[in-house]
Amino acid sequence: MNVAYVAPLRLAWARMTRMLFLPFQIENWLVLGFAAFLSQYLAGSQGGQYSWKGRSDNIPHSVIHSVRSFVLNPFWSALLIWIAIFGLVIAVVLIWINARGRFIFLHNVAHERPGIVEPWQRYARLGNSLFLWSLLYAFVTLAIVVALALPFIGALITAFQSEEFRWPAVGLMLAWAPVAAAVGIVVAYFYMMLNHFVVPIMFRHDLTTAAAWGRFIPLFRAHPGNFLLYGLFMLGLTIVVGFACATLGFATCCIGFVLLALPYIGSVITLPVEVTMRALGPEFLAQFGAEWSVLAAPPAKPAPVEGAGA
Amino acid sequence: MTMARAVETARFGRARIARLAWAACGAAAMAGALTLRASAAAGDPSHPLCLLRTVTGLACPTCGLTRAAALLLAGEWRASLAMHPMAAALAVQLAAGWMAWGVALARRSRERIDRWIPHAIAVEAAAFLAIWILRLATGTLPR
Repeated sequence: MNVAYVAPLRLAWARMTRMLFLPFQIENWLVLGFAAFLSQYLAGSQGGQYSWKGRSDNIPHSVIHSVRSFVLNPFWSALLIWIAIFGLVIAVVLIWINARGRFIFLHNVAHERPGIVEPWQRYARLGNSLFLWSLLYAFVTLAIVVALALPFIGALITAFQSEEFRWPAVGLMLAWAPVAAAVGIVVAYFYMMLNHFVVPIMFRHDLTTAAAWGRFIPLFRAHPGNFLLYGLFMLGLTIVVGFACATLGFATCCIGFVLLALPYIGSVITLPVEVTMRALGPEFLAQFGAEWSVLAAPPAKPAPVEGAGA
Repeated sequence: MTMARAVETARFGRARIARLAWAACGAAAMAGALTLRASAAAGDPSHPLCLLRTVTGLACPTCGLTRAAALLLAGEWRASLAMHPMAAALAVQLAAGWMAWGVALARRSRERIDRWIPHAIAVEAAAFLAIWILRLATGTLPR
């Protein structure tokens, strides 16, 4: 079977052009941008790309002691626990909205018609299924990451507490980096397959997430190379998009970076990319047969009227 | 409620939202202009906020645009044009676009003026790039 990579991208691009520019209507952009915002940014899957990462390699002991005394204070520790619980509740609510938002955005792209209210009601069951699955996936991922990070954290604490240089601690830290990278790649790949293939299968066949995975896995087993290459293709596209965003940001005195980082506004600005990326997975999937075809066919060109040119 | 009446109600609702959006855009632009006028200090050119300029020492295509807009609001249009010629061009286009939008709303015209937005953005981008290359070649980029 000859599976193409660029042809689905062309189809996705053509769909995006039809939806967003033929004709250009600002309210369509605003509604679609909101759908894209619900499906992407609320979960923080892209919103964290501009997050600041502080240096922690030179924390003095006095700071550690201050933090320890702060945490041991009953009032502050109770407040911290309440803030953590509140944060967790907010995160769960955001995952729930994001799960529904993915179907809303896919519905809009599949039918080339923007809308929020009707798809929000229609995809309640599928959204809730995806929400529960995402929650489970997040907990499992977190458990794996914590289990892998424990030796590293232990080594880090030992290195901080001792004044002398310890080779085993450094070795452990160095060994942890490729493991973390491998886990990161697997988690990202899993997430990509969920969003690009499993969600469209749920959408197409009205299946729960587990049932959609059950349907997708045999296809993946039959064509593992194609799906792995698709992941690399997506990586390449992400690099190109990142480069374009960086160019836009630098070319506008960094105002572009600020606009891209703003919730919703960033979604509206990057809508051509969002729509193309949303349509790409289903377009790729459609190559494996009619039962995998998710998106509606493009509107047919009107037949020429006989004698019109005469 | 008949279908025709429902359609009419929806159209009336959309028109009201469009008028509100038009007024909000005008108010936001006015507030922005007043804020810029009030804080028209040019800043310290030796400590630029622009990341590209900090790293490479090279001014980006939009470098000087805020200062040019501030000069324009202060009535110093020659200095504004020298700082960045696109500030005046953008101000004229935004004002014209906003007024055309208002006229279309007042006339209840069905013609969509937003169809020109992608063309306008493409032309602006090309103009910014062309002016940047020209100023880079002639060494007239703002410091």
